[in-house]
Amino acid sequence: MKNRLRVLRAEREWSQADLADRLGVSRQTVNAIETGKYDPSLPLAFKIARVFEAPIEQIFDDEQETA
Amino acid sequence: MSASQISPEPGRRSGALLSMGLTAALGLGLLWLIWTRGHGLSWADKLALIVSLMCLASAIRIGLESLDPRRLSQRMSLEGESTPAETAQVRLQAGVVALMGVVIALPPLADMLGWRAPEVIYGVFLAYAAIRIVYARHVLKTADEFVRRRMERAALVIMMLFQTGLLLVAGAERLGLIGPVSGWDALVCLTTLAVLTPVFLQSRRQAEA
Repeated sequence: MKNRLRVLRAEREWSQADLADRLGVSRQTVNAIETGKYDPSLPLAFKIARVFEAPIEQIFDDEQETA
Repeated sequence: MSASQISPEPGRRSGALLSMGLTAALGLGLLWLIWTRGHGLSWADKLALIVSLMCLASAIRIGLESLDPRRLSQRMSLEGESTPAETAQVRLQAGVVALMGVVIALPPLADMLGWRAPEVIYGVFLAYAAIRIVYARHVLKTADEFVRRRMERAALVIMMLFQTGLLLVAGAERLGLIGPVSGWDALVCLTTLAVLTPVFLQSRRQAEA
């Protein structure tokens, strides 16, 4: 699943550590999500949406649906 | 300012060389021991020594990498430098892996070197079992969902492979097709899987990325 996490983080000038702190996860998790190696759970996806104040579908893109 | 901060490449190279040198020294020592005193060792004992060497080599490499926060961060595919908490976590993991390497090598080493103290060696096994329980509790308590998912995936692959192997071997043993298989043989096979599976899964993840 593609996502705009890195872009959104860069827009706010947050480091991976800043975002990890806000989400209550490790930097490894943030990196794994950003690089598409890991799709977050639904609770974490909602948390990400809340942190960036954006709907989930604006952050995550289900390629299968758009293909 | 450390040498590695001035120019990271020489520091990285010397760390890698030191790691390879220590591993080679351990490996040569082990080979010499097997060559000179390992005639009565079973296949499981020899495999245990190889796994022990892999554990110790991995712990040495990670331990040396953890001395350089930038290098450790790169190894974990992270930005900047590793935090003290990340470094501590990695060192703890390396320590547990090193202990596993020591513990699994003790029975064959005791045979080769003529140590006649099974109670003492079993005491080491008991102590290591206690450390493993405390470590597992700590990891489960502190891991987030990504780390948990990785651990679950590795555990699933290890269990599936071990169970399938055990099915075939235990079935053949029960039917009298092969000789008896001991608990030690099974432990060494399980430990080998536990060491190799995460490495295999990580290399697959890196290849996919």
